[in-house]
Amino acid sequence: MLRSRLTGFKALATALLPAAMLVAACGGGTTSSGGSLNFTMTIGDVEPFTGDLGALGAPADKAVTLAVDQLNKASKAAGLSVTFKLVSADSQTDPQAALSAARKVIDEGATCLTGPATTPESLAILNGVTKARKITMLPSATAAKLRLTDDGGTIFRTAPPDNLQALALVTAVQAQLGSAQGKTVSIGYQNSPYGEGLANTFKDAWTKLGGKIQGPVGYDPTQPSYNSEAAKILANNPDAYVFADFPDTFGKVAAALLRTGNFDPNKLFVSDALAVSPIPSAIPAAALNGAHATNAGSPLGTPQAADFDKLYTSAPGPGRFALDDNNFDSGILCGLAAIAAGSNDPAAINAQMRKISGPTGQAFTYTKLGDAMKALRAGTQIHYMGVSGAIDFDAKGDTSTGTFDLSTWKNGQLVLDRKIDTKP
Amino acid sequence: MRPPRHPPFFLMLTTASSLEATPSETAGLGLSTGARGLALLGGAAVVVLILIAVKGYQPAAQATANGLVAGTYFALGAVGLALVFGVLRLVNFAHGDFLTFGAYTALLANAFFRLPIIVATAIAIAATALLGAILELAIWRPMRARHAGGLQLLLIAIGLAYVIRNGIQIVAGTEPRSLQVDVTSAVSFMGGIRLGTTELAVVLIGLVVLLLVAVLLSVSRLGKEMRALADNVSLAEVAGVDTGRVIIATWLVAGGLAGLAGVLVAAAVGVLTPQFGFQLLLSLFAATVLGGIGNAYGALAGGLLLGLTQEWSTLFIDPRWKLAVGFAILILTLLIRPNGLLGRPALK
Amino acid sequence: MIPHLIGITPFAHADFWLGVGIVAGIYAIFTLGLQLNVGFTGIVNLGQAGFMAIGAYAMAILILTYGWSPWLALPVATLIAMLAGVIVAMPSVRLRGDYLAIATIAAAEIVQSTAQNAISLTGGNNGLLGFDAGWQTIQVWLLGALSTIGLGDMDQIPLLAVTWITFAVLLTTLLTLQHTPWGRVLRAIREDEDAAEALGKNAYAYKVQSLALAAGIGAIAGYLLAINITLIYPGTYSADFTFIGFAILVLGGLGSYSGVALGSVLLWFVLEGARFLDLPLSADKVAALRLLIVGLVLILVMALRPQGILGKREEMVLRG
Repeated sequence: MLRSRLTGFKALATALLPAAMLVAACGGGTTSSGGSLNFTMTIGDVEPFTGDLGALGAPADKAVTLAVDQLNKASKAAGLSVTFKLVSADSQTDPQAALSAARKVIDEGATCLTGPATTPESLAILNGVTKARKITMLPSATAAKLRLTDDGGTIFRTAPPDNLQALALVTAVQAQLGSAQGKTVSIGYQNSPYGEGLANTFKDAWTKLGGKIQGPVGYDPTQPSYNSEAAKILANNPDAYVFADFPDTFGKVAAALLRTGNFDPNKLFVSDALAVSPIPSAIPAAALNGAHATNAGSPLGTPQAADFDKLYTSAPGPGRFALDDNNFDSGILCGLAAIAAGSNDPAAINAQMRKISGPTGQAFTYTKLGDAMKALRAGTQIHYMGVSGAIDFDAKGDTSTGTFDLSTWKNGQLVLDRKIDTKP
Repeated sequence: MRPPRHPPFFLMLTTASSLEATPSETAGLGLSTGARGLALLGGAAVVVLILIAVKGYQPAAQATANGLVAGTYFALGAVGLALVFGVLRLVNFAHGDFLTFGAYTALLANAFFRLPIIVATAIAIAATALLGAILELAIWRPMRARHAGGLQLLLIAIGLAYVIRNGIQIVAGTEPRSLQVDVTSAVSFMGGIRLGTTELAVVLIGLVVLLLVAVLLSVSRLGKEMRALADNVSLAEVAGVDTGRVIIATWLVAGGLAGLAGVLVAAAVGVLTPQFGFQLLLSLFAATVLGGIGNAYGALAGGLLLGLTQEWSTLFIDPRWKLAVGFAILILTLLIRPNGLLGRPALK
Repeated sequence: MIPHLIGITPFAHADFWLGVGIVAGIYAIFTLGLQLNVGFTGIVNLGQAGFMAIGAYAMAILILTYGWSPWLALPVATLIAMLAGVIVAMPSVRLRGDYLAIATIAAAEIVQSTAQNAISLTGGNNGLLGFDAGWQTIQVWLLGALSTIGLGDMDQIPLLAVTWITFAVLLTTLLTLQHTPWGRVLRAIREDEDAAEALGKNAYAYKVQSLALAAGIGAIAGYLLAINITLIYPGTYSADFTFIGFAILVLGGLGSYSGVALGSVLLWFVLEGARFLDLPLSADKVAALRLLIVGLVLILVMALRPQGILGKREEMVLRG
């Protein structure tokens, strides 16, 4: 009933509607505000720890583990008797294994899921188990195609969907080239659900503006040599290049790009999945210094992003990696939604997810999580400001923030150039 | 009971002595390995000339150079696989993970203990050779003593592949890693062909090593003993070959080559994950079979042909299809030459 | 709200284990085809996952693109997979055992690559969705029936039942075939091809038929897999699937159709049971340890009981 599609995002509507939803929910819903809560919430993290995208699992799980630590500290600080527990399982980059992994964590009591990393895995879990049980899932898969399936309002994504990301990239490239008209952008992508989805979305958006596309050139993460692909991508000296890829494969492609001698990092634009700072050691720094990245939700330079960087890098385990901040936010949102719901019931948690993500209400970052919990128990509407940026779930459950950071790598670090607004 | 004519399992090929060459196979293609190798080289040269005529010099030459790079990777990885198959009739599914093991050993020496890459490579070769020999003593020899069947050994090899790969992941993690090697600088030569300096070094080292190994195996006493063993174990034993020693030597050579291949490929490609060798494995099988199973020259020829055809295909079709092109070439080759490019019609 | 059941109670992980039961059943069906090829004909078919993919894609494309009824699409897709079996078999069964194995694996890789890259036909990396509307209707009806006996929230029981009933039907068919003249000729070819030829049996034709039949069985496994994960996606049909099938084949015992069921249940019990490893390690290390243990178990079982559970020792031993 409340799933009216928020497509216009007119300022007034966005400000008023969630407030109205909150009033509606508070009227009949949440239990004794202010009272002490006492339950254990289990968050399930389903990630690829093995298989082709095996490199994504460990950093994602580290981020969610850190989120659960923060939730537990905050719960104590807020004087609540809520304990948060994390159970993780390996999706093996395979839909069948992902479904098994999800069933395992759900049988162990998980009432909110973070992960998995790809759209096929997410669909298998959605249709196999989470939709019927109203269990919220926050995958890091970004394909627009994920939204073609009815999810019963259970899928929320802190990473921007491909259509928004593509718009941000288009705006960024357009700004650099002056206009799209007649300008050629060459696209390279990892031949996987993520790469194919983003590459095609960008292609459509760019050609609509009168621009030309070279490629898109797809490559497999398993092939040993990328020289021919690099040459094809750089052929005819395109005006800009866009890559849809993850760091492990892009490291190999980047080396091949540099070897051609025709590669100009200033012409390179990449999306969230590659927007990692500092440059991961597996990617030759020369390929990214001077290159541009779009990052949804405008996280760069925010105090919470800087705090998270310290928190993450000082903890043992892998270094910064693609979408680790998004996974951290997903974990925090699960916990906050349970506090807001005042229970560990999946449907009640699900009902709170959109309300706590903003854009209205009192804003809190993870560093003030205890205060956020207190405010929630006092019946105040809160607005969680993520380390990956503003989240502001729309009616579909996708982050609706139109603001992206456009930044450039300088000396291995991403430096903010400006904010771009993808709203028409 | 007579042995089955078409043995159902890989390993049963030792009993395949009844696999007789049909007259057409021996008469029509009874060229020596060397002559057939030359014929292949000639064929490749003709293809290059045609490609130059159709697509112009630079694109065709560049694709050929790229193909040589990829082909060297495949050949380096395949030769150890082919040796073990030739001598032991063992399809070593763990071979890809041998490459990973070698590369991570070098990484440990190079990136953590700051040893120069040459020293790290030597350590990797020694460690992987040792791994091969230890596994022979711990698993393969006892299993042979118990007359293990082919499928059984195949499954053990698959199990071993899981153990090695995931063992590496437990120790090293999944983070993509790199050796301390310059993967980005390149040189131009022969009028516009461009290759990475590391790639060029790997191609030169790889081809020299592979040729050296192939020549040594064909003239040395060890090589002759390996072939004797490959053809007929009992006969070799009767002839006084110390089979235990030859088999250990085979594992040392195959393991060492796998270690070398792992380091060279990881160095030139630039990124290393625990999946690295396993992701190459199917291509290595294809190269081995393309060249003719159990033949060091065959692995070299098969690897190069696989790499070249894949890269040549990118001149005409979307490179996304190049993995499929490789397997299609394999099937076509087997249709024309059922024993691979340089394979003998039968093991005698 | 039913509180979460912690500890070892019979229903603590019922949903998880029901899911494992479905997967084990699908793999058991898949491996029946391998048993026919490897155990009863003597051809090492390493491309079974490719036939499974052809069946599943054909079914989904007939339903989604051409609007066929599932009842027509299923048999036709099975025939298409069998035809693919014939096409692969005709040139390759003449090859020596090991070359045949690699040729079939190559064919399967080409199928998988086509599924990934022929985007307009197959949906590419995003795969195909929505082919299972017919099944959903049946499932709703079955769940309604189940709820009358209090099992309405066990939503995996319908698929579990259909999977294992399919397995039982195929098992019975194959066991029956084994005792027909056709089955006896296959067996003879596997034992001694020359002798079979001498008796006037065309071994070549029988081998092609064996591979085609196995391809059809693979297609059936493909439908159930697609229904279970509700999508058809290229990555699902990788060579790994066939390798696991071989592990099941050898665990259960070569030359034993019923052993396939035991092998599959055992393997999946180990593979999925190992998910419950609880160690103070990071999740990626636990995941790797899980697969490492699976590898060790495979090695140990092969070393200690080489003939598998129901196999006869002589099936596995070097002959000659």
